[in-house]
Order: sequence, then structure tokens, then C-alpha cells
Amino acid sequence: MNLFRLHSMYLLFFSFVGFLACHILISIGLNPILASSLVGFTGSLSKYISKKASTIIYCSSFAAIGVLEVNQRISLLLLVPIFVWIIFRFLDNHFHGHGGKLGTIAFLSVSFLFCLVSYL
Amino acid sequence: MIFSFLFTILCSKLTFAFHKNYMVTSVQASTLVTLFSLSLLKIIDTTAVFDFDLYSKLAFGASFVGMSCPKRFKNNEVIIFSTIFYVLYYFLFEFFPFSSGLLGFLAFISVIFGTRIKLLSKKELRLPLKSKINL
Repeated sequence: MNLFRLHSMYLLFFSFVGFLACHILISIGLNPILASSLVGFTGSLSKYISKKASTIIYCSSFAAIGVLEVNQRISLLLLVPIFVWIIFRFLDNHFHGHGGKLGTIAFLSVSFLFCLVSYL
Repeated sequence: MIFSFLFTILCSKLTFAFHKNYMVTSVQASTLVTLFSLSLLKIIDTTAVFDFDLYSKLAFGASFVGMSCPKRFKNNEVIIFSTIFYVLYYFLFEFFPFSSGLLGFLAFISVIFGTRIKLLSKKELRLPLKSKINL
């Protein structure tokens, strides 16, 4: 697994897209669950992005749901989509077909941020 | 409590059925069921008093259970997974310091537990030949 291939970078970009889109929708007052579902649904409808990209968009939108409870500094929050991307790539060939895998990836990513913030 | 439990089962079954029968991806199935559930809950919220937050979280989490692959899991297994998810939600949700991905994590644990229980029950039923003769 090479994290720096073009396809990997493409997934990193969409990880940021999903996270920021959901974060913006939540900050304007939308229900977090509604925001995440809208972002995921919109991403999955697009014909121009791959199935994996739409999956990572949905996954990173979960991470945006309660991340402000951990920390509110945007410089630290932007680490979360990077963690989502790394864990997503690592678990790409594991736990196929298991429900909740994407949520677990988001949970682990925010847990890393939580540990980092606690350490700092 | 019974109603919320049945609601959880319904959402997970709907997601699973969409994913299995209608040629939609698991992400589309989950988002469609969640959006539909939220709309329905919002309509009910305007007419009756109930815990919108609880039901919306249960719908969202149950849709993750329903995202399980239909080629790997059967319909009745999804019911078991969503039952475990419901129990885990009630006991564990309040103990975590943040909620990002928590519903998905609980859904994942319930699928893993359910799969292990299924494997253990299969091993228990298969008695070795010697013990069958002794009986």
C-alpha cells in the first residue's frame, strides 16, 4: 500500500471535502446527522467520483459530527481528515462487508486527535 | 423502549434491503434511510412529544448495521446485530467523551460480536463423534 500514489492523494482530497462540507453545514445550524447524510448522499450521487471516494466522503463526514467537542482550533481539526485517510487506506483490504467500519475509522481518527490534544 | 428497539430493527432492515435489492451502494442505502427517517421523525415531532435526538441517533446507527454486505450476512443476522447495537447504545453511548463516529463504532462492534456468537454457536452444535457414541 503506497500512500503517495495519485489515487491515494485523490482520496485525501475527498476526505477533506467530506469533513469540511459537513463541518460547514453543522456550523450554519443544521442537525449533525442530517448534515452527514446530505454530504454522504450528495457524494454518492456524483458520476464523476469513484465509489471509494464517495465512501471516504461519508466516512470523513462522520468525523466532523462531534469533533468540536474535542477541540475547536482549526489547525488541529484539519488533522482529522488526514487520520481518516491513513486509517481508511490501512483498512482498505480488511473487514469487507462489515457494517460500521466507516464509523470506526472516523472514531479512531478523532480518538487520535483527542489523545494528541490531551498530550499537548 | 420497545418502540425504539423496533424502530432500530426497522431502520437496519430497510438499509439492508435497499442495499440488497435495489442496486444501490451501501452509502446510498444508509443515507436514504437516514434522510427518510429524519423527515418522518420531524413530522412526528411537530404533532407529538418524543425524544427526537434519541430516535435520530438510533436511525443513523441502525443504518450502519444495515450497511453490512448482503453476500456475507443474512436477514436474520442483521436483526441480531441491530439488537446488540441497541443494547450497546443504551449502555455505552454516554461514557465516551465525544460522539464522532461513535454510532458507527458501536455498529461495528455489534456486527463483530454477532459474527462471533454465530461461529461459536455453530461449533457448539457440531459434537465430536466420540461424545455422540458415549451419549
